[in-house]
Amino acid sequence: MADEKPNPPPPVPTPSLVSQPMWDAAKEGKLALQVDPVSGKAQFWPRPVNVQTGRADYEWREVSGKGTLSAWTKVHVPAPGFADRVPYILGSVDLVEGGRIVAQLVNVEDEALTPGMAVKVSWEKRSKETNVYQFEPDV
Amino acid sequence: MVDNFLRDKPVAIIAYGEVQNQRSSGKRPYEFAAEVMGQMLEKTGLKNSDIDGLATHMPTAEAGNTFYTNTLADNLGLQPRWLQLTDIGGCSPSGNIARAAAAIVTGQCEMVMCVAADSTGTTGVGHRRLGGYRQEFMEPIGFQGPPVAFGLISHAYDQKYGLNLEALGHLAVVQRNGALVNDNAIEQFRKPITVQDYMESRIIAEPIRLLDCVMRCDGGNGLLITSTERARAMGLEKLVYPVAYSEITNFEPDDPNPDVTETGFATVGPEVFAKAGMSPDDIDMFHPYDDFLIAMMLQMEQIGFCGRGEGADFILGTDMSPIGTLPLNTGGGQISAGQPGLGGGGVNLTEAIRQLMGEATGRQVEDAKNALVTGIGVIPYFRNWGSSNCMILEGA
Repeated sequence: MADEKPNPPPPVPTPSLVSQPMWDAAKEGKLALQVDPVSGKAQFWPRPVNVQTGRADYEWREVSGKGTLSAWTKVHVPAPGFADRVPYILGSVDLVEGGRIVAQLVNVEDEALTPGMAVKVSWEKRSKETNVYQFEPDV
Repeated sequence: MVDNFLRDKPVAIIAYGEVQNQRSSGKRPYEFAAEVMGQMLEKTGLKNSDIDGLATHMPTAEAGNTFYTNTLADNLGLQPRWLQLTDIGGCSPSGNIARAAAAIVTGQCEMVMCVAADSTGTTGVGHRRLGGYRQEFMEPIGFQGPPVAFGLISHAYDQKYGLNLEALGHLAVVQRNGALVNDNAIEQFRKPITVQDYMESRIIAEPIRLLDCVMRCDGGNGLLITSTERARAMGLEKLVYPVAYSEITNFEPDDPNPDVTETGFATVGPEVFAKAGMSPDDIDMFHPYDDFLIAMMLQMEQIGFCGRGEGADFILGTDMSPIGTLPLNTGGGQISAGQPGLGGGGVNLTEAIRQLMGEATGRQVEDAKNALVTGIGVIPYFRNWGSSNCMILEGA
């Protein structure tokens, strides 16, 4: 179509003061989460408080990046910046250390996905400064 | 006994107003609010100067106007002594009834207009700024919009209980039949559909199809609420009473890996019945918030019309038409009447009030004495939805 807009690049996340440590770790290819030091519960996304206490008494911990797949959806109508990936799969991953991340699943066809399958984090270089988390089968 | 300040019917809804939902009108929320107010002043004989309270929600079209409520009062020639801006998405319109009731019984104001109006069809949603997580953690991973969140919820439900597409398609057809006889339904949806049409509609984010989804549009609706004493003194006969209300936001925030098939309705559903001294069997009509078809099925299960995982059997075994045992969103719901942006929570609420006033031409439920109206608000970070509320209304 004549009035079709060109596909923009996928968005580059802008860190906040709170989330900056996570994106700093991501740049090194490591996944870091806020963890409640008492219960050991991890939380994602990064917040200004530990949701277990309502205080800023969380600790940043590097986690394994391994987890299990709990649900997924194959997306046919893309988000801005994702038109050239259609269809793509977004999966809900429960991390081994606790906490849940939703991210694009890569290096796998949806026919091969099973509930509870083991996955591990991988990284997409989105910009010079920013790696975005994805997940792939942990084989 | 659960405390319930509405039990003795201290307040009454005396009028409602609604404009026809439109795809893209070029109008702003102010014009829709003016039309809605005009209808209600006409019905009641009141003047705008009689309104001393104003409750509304933040419209998508006005996102960024940090003085919206004040500007709205100015547009409408109102001098309110009590103002309320509520931002719990689809829970806002019925939530505003509860807030207005509290303001009236505590003497802060006497005659409140609750109005919901938006022009999302005209403005789109791209100009909004959703802080916290949407821009940083959802859009960069390819979050296309609410169909992705409901695709994941649907898949989780499918694994746990099995997803019955025929039952969802049945809900689509029941609601579409309502839109066919609702003059305020969006024009594009006033044609019949079949379960087959639902099954074959375009896939957005598996298993969510086009006909699972609500469509944003322009429109407005509202109501006038006052003390029951004043309503009776005015000699009005068609009164609708809010008799019980429960609301919850951010269900179980301390669970980092929640079951996304569970929602705040597990709390507010049973609670609103306890407040009203009623059970699901006592409900004459059900007007649940419908952004996606599966959201209605989850509500049926969690509010207590049926057990977990039994929603499909309940849907297929229950006549939900206006002559059935549990009439459902008789005007088409938002999915078939249109979702006027963040005023969408008022679509099913207005239909319930219209029914209880006996004015639902072509779809009137005979002898309906009460209705259960619900709201859902906000898509959070891949939990379930953000806010859930339930209100029971009774006719005079």
